[in-house]
Amino acid sequence: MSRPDFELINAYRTTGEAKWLDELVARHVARVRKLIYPMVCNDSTADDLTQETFVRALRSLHQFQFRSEFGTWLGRIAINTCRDHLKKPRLVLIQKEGGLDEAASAEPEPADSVASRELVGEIEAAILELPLKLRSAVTLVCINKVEPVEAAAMEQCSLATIYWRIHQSRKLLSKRLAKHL
Amino acid sequence: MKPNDTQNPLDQLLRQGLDHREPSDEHLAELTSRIQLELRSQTTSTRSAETVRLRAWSGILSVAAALLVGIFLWRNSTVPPNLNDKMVSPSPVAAFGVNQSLVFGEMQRVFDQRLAWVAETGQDVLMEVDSGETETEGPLLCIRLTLASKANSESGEEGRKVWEMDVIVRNEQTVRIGAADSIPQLVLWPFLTEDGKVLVETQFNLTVPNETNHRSTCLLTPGLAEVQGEVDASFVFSQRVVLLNEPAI
Repeated sequence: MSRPDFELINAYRTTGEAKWLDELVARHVARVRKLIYPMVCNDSTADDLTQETFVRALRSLHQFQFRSEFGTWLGRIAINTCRDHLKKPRLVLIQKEGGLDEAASAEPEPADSVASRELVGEIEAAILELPLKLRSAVTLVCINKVEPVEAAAMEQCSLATIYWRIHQSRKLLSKRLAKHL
Repeated sequence: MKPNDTQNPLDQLLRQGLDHREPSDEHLAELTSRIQLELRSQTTSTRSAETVRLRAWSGILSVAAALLVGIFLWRNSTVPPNLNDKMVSPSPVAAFGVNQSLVFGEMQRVFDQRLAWVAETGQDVLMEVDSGETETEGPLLCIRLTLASKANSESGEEGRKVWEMDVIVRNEQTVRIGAADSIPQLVLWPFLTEDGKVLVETQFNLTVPNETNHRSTCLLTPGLAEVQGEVDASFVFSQRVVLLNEPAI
């Protein structure tokens, strides 16, 4: 039976052995990445921000006082890491359709694959158009099925605020993706 | 419609769409290893980092002349050596941090770019020289931490500076100082926010004159002195920060 998070954290604090951190990472990495991906809709950026989330968590681990679940605390760091990243001015590389990757693929894609790829592209574009606070609310509650109470803890806002953000996001996304609903 | 309604058609569409973007097991395993390695390197570098403690003005002859000049300039611009100096109004903020970037640049040169941070308190200069490559990117900050006793209006006793430390450190670099003599155990981590303010997480344990434990997270505006409040019934703790110009190396 696996040890609970707080035991791993205490073991790391006591011994300083990296194996406890390894186990925490292995346990939470998938969920953290899944929280982060919809915020950025880019694989390599999601990977980088997932790593940054754990690095920040390690730096602040001495401050974690078990007032919330470790996963909730980590989720809060993940969302804040994404926000910090997205607020930075950056160069965006827009790859034209039929770029190098596609040109290298000699086999034509099946029509349903193309259609689903287009749908995914539209969904991602719609999510990326949302303001950051709405985007993180959708990411947490609608996509990752985080309970609104936990989402409010991660976002450090009231439950009513989360409800309102979800309502607004759904309104905007429904309009944008109406033809698929 | 409930916010966490899993049957919501829009939510289902979003989830189904993004399921296509789920990383493969191999990708996730690779990412896990990468993060584990990164965390190990961070913890190892912290532990293996050699904390060099120099007793100012006595052992300093063993260090390069440039370092001596640098510390001299720095001390002239920062803290009076007498810890019992009366608390006075903060010195003009503009004067704070003038020479620190020069000092840091000189020290970096002496230590072959392996200097992680430098701190000065009372008669002591502390620095961390990393065994590996240190972070050379990112803004350079000078943070002044001041612990002072409170003024006593009944006895007429004025507040006095108990301890003060100036730390030169790069953004997001953690400073860890172990307790020694009159130096408290200290952990400090600065983070420059998008709007130009500096979030500083500070934790220290002071044993002299009283057992004092303080932890704070505060948002500082560079250049402004900010009293952060009471540590306990007897002390107040304040911090201020300036952004330093990049030293010319």
